[in-house]
Amino acid sequence: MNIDEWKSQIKRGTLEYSILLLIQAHSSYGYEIIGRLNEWDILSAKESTVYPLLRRLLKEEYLTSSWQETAEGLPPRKYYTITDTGRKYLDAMSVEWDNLISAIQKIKGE
Amino acid sequence: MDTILSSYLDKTDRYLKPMPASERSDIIQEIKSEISELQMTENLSSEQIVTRLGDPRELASAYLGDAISKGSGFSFGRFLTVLAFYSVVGFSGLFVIPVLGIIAPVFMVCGIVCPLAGLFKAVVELLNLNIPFAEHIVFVYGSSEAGPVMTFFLALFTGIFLFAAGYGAWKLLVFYIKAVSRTHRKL
Repeated sequence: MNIDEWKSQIKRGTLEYSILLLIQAHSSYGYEIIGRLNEWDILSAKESTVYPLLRRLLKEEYLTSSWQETAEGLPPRKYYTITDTGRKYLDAMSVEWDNLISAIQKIKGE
Repeated sequence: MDTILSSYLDKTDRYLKPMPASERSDIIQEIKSEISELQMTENLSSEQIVTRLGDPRELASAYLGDAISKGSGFSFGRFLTVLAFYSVVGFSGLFVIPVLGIIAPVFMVCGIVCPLAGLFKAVVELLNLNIPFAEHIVFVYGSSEAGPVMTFFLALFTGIFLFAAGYGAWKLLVFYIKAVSRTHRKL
């Protein structure tokens, strides 16, 4: 039995959704996003996955970014903010997500 | 940043070669920011950080991933899109940029100079000063000339109009350039 392969497929399919949800809640930067994702094993992702994905979401104009100075003497952070297009995309994703969950629940219940 | 980390960043940067320099430096900047968070917040050593970020070649190829799959292979549709883009931008830019680029500053400067000239003329006329060249500043309608006060107001309105036109041209130019670069990025 290899559950890890299946888990990584789920992760791959939902990472974009989770990241957009996190950024919609409030503007955030890479390190913080990775930290939040790592709170759950099923969502945890590596830097080499998250940063390129953020870049793609920028290119597709679901996100915008800005460099911001930090108070703690760290170098500037690149903050990501969701755009109106991103919000629409996220809403459409949420609809599909709910469809999936209710479909699975119905299958399980019957 | 010690030698382990800076050589890691150098390598990653080199593997990112297919990307434009500005994008590359932005990516490296962001990895640098991540590295300092790992150092300061989690107290990781350079070796631990390098292990965590993974092989520079793989990191870079994750970034290049969709850039390559998007750009690879010759497609006639894409060729036509690029051709159309550069034809339209090249041709329109030939007129739009120089025309707006000249109109914008010149109109704005004229918009400032014109009311000043009107004021100068009005003062000269009202105080009956004998200053050479002042007689050249004049508003003529039909066969009559505008009086000093009228001259000032006419010059002021002309100035406002010119400045607004120049400012509009400037905004238009900025809009044009932004629109072009936005479309180019999407290509």
